[in-house]
Amino acid sequence: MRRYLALLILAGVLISGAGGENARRKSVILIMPDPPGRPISTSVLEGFQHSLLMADPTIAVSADYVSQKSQARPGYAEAQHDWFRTKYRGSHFDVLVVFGLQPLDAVMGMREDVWPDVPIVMTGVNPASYKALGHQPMMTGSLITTKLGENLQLAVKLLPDTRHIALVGGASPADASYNSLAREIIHESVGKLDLIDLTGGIPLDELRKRVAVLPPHTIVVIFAYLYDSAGRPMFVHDVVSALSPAANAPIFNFEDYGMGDGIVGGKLTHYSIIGQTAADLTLRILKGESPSSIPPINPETGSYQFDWRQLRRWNIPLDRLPPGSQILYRPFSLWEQYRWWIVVVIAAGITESLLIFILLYQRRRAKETEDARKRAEMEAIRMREEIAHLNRVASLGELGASLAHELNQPLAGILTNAQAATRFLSQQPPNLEEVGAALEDIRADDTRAGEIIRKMREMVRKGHSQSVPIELNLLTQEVMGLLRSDAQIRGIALLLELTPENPVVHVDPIQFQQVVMNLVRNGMEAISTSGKPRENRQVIVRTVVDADDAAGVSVEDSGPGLSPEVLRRIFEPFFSTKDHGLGMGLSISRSIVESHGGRIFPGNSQTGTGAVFHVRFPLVREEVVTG
Amino acid sequence: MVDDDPSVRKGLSRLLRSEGFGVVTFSSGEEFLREPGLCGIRCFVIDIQLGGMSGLEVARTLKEREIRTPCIFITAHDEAMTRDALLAAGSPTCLRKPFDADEFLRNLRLALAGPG
Repeated sequence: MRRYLALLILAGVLISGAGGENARRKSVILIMPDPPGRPISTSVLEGFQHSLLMADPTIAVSADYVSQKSQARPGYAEAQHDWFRTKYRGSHFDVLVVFGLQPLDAVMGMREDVWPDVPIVMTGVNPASYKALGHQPMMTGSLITTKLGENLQLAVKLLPDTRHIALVGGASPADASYNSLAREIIHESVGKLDLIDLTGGIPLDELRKRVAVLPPHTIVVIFAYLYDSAGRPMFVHDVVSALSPAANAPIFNFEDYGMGDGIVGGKLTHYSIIGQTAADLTLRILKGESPSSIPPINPETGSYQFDWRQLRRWNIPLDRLPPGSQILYRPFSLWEQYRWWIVVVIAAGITESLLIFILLYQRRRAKETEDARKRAEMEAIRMREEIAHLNRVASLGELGASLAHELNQPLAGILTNAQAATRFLSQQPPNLEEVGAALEDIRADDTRAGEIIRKMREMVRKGHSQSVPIELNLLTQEVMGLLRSDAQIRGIALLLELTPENPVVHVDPIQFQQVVMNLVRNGMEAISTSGKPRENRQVIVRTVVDADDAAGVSVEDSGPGLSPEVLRRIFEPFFSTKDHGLGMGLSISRSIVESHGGRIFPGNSQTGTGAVFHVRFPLVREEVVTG
Repeated sequence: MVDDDPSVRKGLSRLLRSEGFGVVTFSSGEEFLREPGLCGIRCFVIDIQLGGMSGLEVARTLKEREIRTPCIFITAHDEAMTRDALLAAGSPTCLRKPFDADEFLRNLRLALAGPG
């Protein structure tokens, strides 16, 4: 894929190169070692072309390959020279870029003839070779320092038990020089190791067998492998790919394009950087700088890269890697791939759970508190209803005599009417008119008696209080019926004054009547004990509408009134001015009134001598349930 | 007859009419005492618990006016008056409502036939 891409680019380059006659377009050519398609050359070309065209898209970039001088068979160099002379006759280049020492050698041999006066940017040449070249006119470039020694020391650091180093190398004269350089560096940097020499272009099949049976604690190093013993060009990554599955020892190579095929890694040289550096220098010359004035540069072209699969395979712990190392081919765990997502999601989950927990806890607490409050409230209501009921029963008990009196009247009417009717019937002729009238009176009396019993039953009935909007006048009138006899027996005038406004209040009818009954009977008690003369014995019940949208009753008696001491204590339970009586009436009345949202307050009469009790409820302005 | 209760007034009047008596009714003692024609009346039936002045007070007033017409007291109250109180008011007879017609008429005739 990579090679295919490189060929495509190359084709494009050659095409644009063919149009190089256009004098206005700058034109450069990159000369690389034969054969085309080596990954190393492709990397350099990619880096070079990319940087150049990014800076100036009009530059025409050509590329060509020269065979390495030392590889040439007799007559080859001359034939190549002739071919280049013919090929580039009439074409013009602004800069000539040469990658590698052998191509540089070849180009220098042809320069005067083929590319006279064209500035040269050389690249990928080690400082020693550059120095050996001596001064060359119109030439600059970027140098490359081999990282073999540095990398071997690193390899030994990664695998401290290493005792053997197997050097794999090619067979060509160029290979031979690389091999001897490598041996030299091995000796210098990791001289203690035992060298296993696998150079000389051993064919891959054979080499595969050899690397499978290496002694323990061996590392395999491929520095350069250009041609095998049969003269076939070899690409390093093909060698690595072939050896890696069979090898019983880790394989090291230090070119970036070998990464992924089976090498462990190290400080890898990035040839695209070499291409970029050459492009930078080229651009400077194209802008008019003299190449002679630009000293050769020596850029950093390496970075630490490792193949995670190989580290695993050879049990190399990650903590032995130099700081800043890049680990490639590591399968991303979910954690590594989505670490922040996972952290955020988990944090959000925890936060949410916590919030839910807190809310639930609070809700439960609130519910418990609420439940307790409700229970207490229910209990209080139940108690109040219970006490109110007892109070009503007690009241009726005390009213017993007057209720009997109240009932005896219609009963007397019924009996006398019935007996009179009998007499009228037995007359000759029977007086049917009187009989009919008697029967009608009996019916009315019976209804009256039934009504009294109904009221009594309501008073003693137990039940939950049920507030309804009700006409205050009607309700007050009704309760008077139960009290009239009592007043009469006591010799007290019971007067009722109804407001013409016909107010409506929201109350439980029975409990309201109970309050009025308590207040009236208190008033009557006060009068009875005061010994007032007949003409000054009265209780006045008034229905009232106040200015502040409150309505209720005021009960005024003609008794002795309330002393400040009594006023202060009057609503206390069991507080009583009476000789007999529990002293619960007013206390209960107040709790009833307040449970209806009303208020009850005592005072002394403005016009008379006695006390007056005011009961007020919020006035209702809505539809009314009568009765 | 003086009674503040309409049921009793109606029933008792009808009973008396059925026996051929003429009846005049009053609903309060005060009203009764204001009546100028009391002299022609043979018997007073007076309820003890009246709205204003009580039946006993009415009787005492009659006594003060030296009207010696016989009285029959009636009451709806359960507690009977003491005989002394009744006698002091001018009559030993007090019927508790509801009373039987025959008993009432017997007492009425006794009163009519009495010393007055």
